[in-house]
Amino acid sequence: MSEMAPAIAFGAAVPYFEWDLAFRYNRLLLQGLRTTLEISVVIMALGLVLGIFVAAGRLSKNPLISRSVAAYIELFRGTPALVQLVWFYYCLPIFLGVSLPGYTAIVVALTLNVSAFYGEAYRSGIQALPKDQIDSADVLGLSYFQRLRYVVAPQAFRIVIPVLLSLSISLFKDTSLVSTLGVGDLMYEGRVVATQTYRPIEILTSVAAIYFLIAFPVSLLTRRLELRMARAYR
Amino acid sequence: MIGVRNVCKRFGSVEVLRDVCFEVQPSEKVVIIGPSGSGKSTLLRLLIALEEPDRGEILIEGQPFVCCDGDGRPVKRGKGFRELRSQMGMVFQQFSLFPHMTVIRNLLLAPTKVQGVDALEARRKALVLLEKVGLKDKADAHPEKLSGGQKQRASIARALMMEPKIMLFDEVTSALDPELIHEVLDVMQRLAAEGMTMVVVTHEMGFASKVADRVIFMDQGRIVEEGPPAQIFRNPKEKRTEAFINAVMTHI
Repeated sequence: MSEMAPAIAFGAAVPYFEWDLAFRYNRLLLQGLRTTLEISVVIMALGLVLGIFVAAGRLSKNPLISRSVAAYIELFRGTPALVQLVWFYYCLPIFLGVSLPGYTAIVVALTLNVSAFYGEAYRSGIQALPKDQIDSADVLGLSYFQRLRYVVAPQAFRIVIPVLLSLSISLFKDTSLVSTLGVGDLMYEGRVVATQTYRPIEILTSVAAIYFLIAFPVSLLTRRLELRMARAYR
Repeated sequence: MIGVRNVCKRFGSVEVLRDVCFEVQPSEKVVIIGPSGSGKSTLLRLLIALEEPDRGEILIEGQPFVCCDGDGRPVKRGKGFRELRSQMGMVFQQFSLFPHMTVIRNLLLAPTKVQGVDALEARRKALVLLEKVGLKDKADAHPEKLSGGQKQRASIARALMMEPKIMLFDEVTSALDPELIHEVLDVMQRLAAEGMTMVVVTHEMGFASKVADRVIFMDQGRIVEEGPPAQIFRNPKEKRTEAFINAVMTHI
């Protein structure tokens, strides 16, 4: 840390950055990144599946089902994810006596959160289908589940892929919230390094750059898919 | 073959069908005409149970298909509902073909998944039907590569895969460019010549007068007049029929 001395000597007006800090602590940060990616992929996979049921429930003809699913969606869309995490992590054990292991609590909370968004995306895709499609499948004798599987789902999924990707990018960044609960993700490790080195600006900026390096290509892919879809569904 | 008895249907406050009764005999070709909003399409959709009547009864092959006693009581489905329904095929105005499947997969889906027909056998049958509608070379094309007329012909072939005894056509040429209409009507005419029982909702009066055994004119949810095409088109008894025929025929 002796090289910091001249910076202070020159005065606070001249900022002095140590951009190579992130490289020096790369082992810790990469370890955090691995946890971040792991949580993201697990939650995405679970959420994409649960989202199908959310959409099906939301579109159910049974008002009890569709209304309770709608309430669930609005609850998770309308409250901060951070509070949801805290609830599943701290409050469930207190109020319900259900104690989930920390990692599970986080996965459950964020999966429920993202499923609400995925579910609404699926629903918009399903409702974008011309009614004749479903009627055609119906008069051909396909059952509800066959219609869903062979006719509705493949088309709706294709329509909503760009939306799903964009939601997934948000999820990927939102996983940084778990750092507040002591899970060693990229953000958490970044904060550890920042505290150790007294260099929060450099480290947090580097952490942001790492998130960006992963999110940006996905974002580009999303845009390309959108253009391709626009052409296919003219 | 088909019996419709005192069928009523309303959407909200709109009465779409008011006490409609009619019969279709085996091999008969019935064409339903009338101004838009007269309830033609709804009637067709009721025949194949895509909509349910608020009151009345529909019989298929003399057996109860759906019936409703009215006054908000639930619709009862006849014993052989699924079986009876599978004897009918229907083609819609547009967007019928599944765009994410090739033409032949469109044809194979229902036979293989619903009827459990052997894939090879179904394929052989599909190619025969595609040849019949003039689309054998389009078997492996996606619907987006097809013209509107080709799509409708493929839809007819797909419906025929299920070997229906009754075919329902709901304005199948209404969304087509004029030069593509005849190729679809040709296929329907050939089907008629083979003895298929057909109920056709259309605005193509030429087709109606050529192919129909009986023309039904509907207005405001009621059957106003029915009879052989010569009577309906040249010598209508009802004023409303005459007005409609005059309106659609003036430019021919």
